[in-house]
Amino acid sequence: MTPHLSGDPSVWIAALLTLAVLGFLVKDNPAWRIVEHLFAGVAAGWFLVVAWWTVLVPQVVRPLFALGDGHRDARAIALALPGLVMPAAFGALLFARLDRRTAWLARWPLAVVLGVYTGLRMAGFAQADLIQQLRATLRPLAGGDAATTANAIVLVLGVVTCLLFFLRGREPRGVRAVPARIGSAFLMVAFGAAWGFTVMSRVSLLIGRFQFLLFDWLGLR
Amino acid sequence: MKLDRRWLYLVLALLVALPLLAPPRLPLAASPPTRAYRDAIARVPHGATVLVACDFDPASAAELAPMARATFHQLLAGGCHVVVVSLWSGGAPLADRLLREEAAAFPGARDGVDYVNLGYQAGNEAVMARLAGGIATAFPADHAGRPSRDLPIVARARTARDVALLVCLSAGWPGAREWLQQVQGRAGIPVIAGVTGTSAPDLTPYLASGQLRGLLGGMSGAAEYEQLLGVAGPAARGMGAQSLAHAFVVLCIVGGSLAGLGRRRAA
Repeated sequence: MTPHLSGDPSVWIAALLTLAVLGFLVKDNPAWRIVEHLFAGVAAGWFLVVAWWTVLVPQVVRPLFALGDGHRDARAIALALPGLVMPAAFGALLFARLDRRTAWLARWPLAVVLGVYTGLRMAGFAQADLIQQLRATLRPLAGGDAATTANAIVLVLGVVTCLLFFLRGREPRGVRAVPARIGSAFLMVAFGAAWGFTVMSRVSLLIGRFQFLLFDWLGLR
Repeated sequence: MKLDRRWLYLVLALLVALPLLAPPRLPLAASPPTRAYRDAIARVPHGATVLVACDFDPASAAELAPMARATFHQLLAGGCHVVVVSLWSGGAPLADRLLREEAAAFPGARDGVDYVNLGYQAGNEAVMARLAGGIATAFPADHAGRPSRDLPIVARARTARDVALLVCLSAGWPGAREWLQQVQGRAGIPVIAGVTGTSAPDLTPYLASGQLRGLLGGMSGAAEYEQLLGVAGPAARGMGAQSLAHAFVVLCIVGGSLAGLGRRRAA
């Protein structure tokens, strides 16, 4: 296994930045701090450029210039102009919060955004989560093969006992506390599974960086 | 006894690096959700359009890029028309590179005819809702700036209802859950998803309810999928490192718990 170092400058930059970030594990150091600030700056710049080229230019700037190219009559321009100017002006109102005296103006575009997304999400949630998940939970306990029946029983038991765990009234004692304890056990198993997947996810990120350093940068194959 | 945590980092780094250089032969059995993911793509008729939502960025590329690569491979090999979209700004260039690299292996596949990357569009759920009105309405231009309406692949599938399958490769919000809420319920198209390990438990109920036809969870899901397709990909190569790192984490938990218990008894 002989190394074949990459000749690509972008790979070298990425590799050195990766090493600088991993260097934080040894101790806090200036290289890590430089990369931390660089990352924040590059991310902010990236989102600004993306917003300009994918939102403002295609949806506001280009259509406005197209209106003034002399190929449209006054009526067509008068019809199209409000649809371009009003959303842009409404969006610009978000910057009104930079001054305390005009901050209240920013509530209007925010109200529109919140209203639209609340409507979209509520309808989608009711359809995909509430109704479909309720339907999936209300399944017959018997009728299929042994594994399907066992799955259905565990599902119903888990749903009912977890709900009982969250129903907080007077604290149950003795036998009446058993369902809530079973619900608690179900929740612990679910949290354990979620934690295991999270560990896998984080280790995957480390593997991804090591694959980049070993294969793409050092060329070890 | 006090253990400097940097020793743990060093051991973990070695346990990750060494298996990557000399991959151990570990048994890897494909789980039913992974098989269902593969089968859902295999059932798509030749020439049908498949919408692939690449809602991830370089931060989660270690898990999702292998899934995307293998998915593009299976879709193009099956003669499907692949339309890629992204609601994450960092996803579009990443997906573009992966799609082009995979398409290069199929000389007959033409950009704009058999596959296209429609790029990034801001608006999250609003863009998903607009897809019902037309793909070209939601994504007026592709990643290269060509008008979508002029592309033959978009002309064949005008709205989300003309899509035979929706593949969500997602790392968070907006992602697979939002596609299910906004598109699956309304357009009624079958959906499969490949997600990060962190998101996989949240999406399992959708698999049980049948809203998701298949699910790849994290690097292990990607590795199982690569194995099913017979593709030697980065996920399968990383599973040795993944397994050893997990064993080490379990060892640390057990060791730390026993040490804590011993200290408590001594006190």
